[in-house]
Amino acid sequence: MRALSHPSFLSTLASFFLSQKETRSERRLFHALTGVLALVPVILFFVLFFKNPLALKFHLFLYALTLGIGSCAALCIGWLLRVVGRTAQRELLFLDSIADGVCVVSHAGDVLLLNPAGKMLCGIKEKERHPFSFASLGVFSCGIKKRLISLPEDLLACRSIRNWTLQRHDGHITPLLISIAPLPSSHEGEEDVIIVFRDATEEKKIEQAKDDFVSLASHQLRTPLATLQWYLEVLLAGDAGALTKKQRSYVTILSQTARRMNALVASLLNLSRMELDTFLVEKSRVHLPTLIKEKCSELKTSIKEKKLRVRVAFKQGRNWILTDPRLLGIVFQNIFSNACKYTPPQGAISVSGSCTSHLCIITVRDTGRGIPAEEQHSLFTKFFRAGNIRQDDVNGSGLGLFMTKKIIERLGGEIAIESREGKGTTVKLSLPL
Amino acid sequence: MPHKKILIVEDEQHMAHVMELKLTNAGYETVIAKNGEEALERVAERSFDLILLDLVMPVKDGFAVLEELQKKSFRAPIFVVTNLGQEEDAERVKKLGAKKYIIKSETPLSDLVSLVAAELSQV
Repeated sequence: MRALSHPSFLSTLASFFLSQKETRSERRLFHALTGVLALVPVILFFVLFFKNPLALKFHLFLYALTLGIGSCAALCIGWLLRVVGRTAQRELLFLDSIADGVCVVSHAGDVLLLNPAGKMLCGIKEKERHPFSFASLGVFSCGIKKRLISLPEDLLACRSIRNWTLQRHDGHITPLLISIAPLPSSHEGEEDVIIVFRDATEEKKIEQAKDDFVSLASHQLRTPLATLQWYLEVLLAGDAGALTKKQRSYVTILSQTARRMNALVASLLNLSRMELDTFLVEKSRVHLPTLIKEKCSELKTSIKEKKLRVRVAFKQGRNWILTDPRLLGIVFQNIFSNACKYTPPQGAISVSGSCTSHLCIITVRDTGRGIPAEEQHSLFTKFFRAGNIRQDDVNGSGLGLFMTKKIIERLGGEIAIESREGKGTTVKLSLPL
Repeated sequence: MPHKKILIVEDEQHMAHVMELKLTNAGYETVIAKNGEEALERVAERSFDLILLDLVMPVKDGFAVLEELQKKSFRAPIFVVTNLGQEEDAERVKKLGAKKYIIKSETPLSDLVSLVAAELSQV
């Protein structure tokens, strides 16, 4: 009888249910039920005692035996349930305590799980229960062009893109830092999506401040240089009167120096953008031979002056690539201008390329001075300039190859350089399609 | 044939002067405005065949000038001549109706004059 009224029998079961409940009123209801159930065996004992005290011994024995076994079983089941309940509760508490929003979206577009941080970011009340649809969370968009995400498969397709925003139903727009991964679904052959996201307003502000700084620095440094260059140009053009031969040669030196300083400022600004990570990668379809020819033609003055033979040959094929044309343009600009600068007059530069189903390989070969073997390990370090060219008066900041490598890596490609001093240099680029 | 009229909107006095010198030598009539507000006043007073517009200026910047001119459905071509080298700025001014985005430190003055000549020969 005592076993029956033992609190563990009922309270174990009750505690399992209690562990699943959230509100105080629900807990009170379950406490009341436990109390009522505990009273039942006590009442039964008194009824039997007054009815037939002799038969009570046998009844008591059977009762105790049945209830003893039942209670033990209940204890075991209760213990197991409590463990399972606690584990489930721990997992829920773990998700609840994460400061980032965690959301699981089913293949069909239903939200299977959304933790409190996620609810707060989406402007959904804490008490609201699942399931609700992914679209009801707000409007997710990714990339600079703000591609709208309405289906779970779009989430996976855009997982590598930065610059996410969430427009809530109240119109509030929040920049997001997001990571997305597929999650095996309970339905075979289907895939859910797990999204971990957080408010990136502060990061955006810092990024904007960095951007503004680079922009301001760019403007303030370039303005006096541009004024200097334009006045020197006016002087050289004779707009302010004819110059003597000596004056002309001095003004020419000034003009070249101003140009060098300008190029250095441009390189340093590009470098700082890269190091501050404010370089955005905006991919679009690019026709490689066209981009290469365009960048070669920018150097036509020095090619003509040095009478260099330039040949661009691409294997027949599509030769289209998904990349950032501006960044890849900087890469070709650096490589071609190095080839032009360090190839003696009447030398040759050849550019060849071919694309397979997943990769494009571009090779730029010149008959220039080459890089001494003992210095080649430092090729991609900042401000590196090879000993054999530093001796001569060839302009250069030593930032070109450093930036080139950084950009190529950001574009998911690789760069390799082979060089023999006095013979020439070969730059090999491989870029993913 | 009357001279084509160009409005130079530039707060840097020396920069404005050198542009004026080169464009006058090339046979154009020029007017200088030192900031955006002055530029809008000049545009209200008389017509221009082309505007060379700086972006970073006191009182009213180049972006604000472009917005106002866009509202007024201003028709003459506008070349933004600036040292802001960010792609986003170039995209923004093109949306606001600027025809060209010229970075001063990357463009020789003679090239700027050639671009102006090419544009005005089409008008």
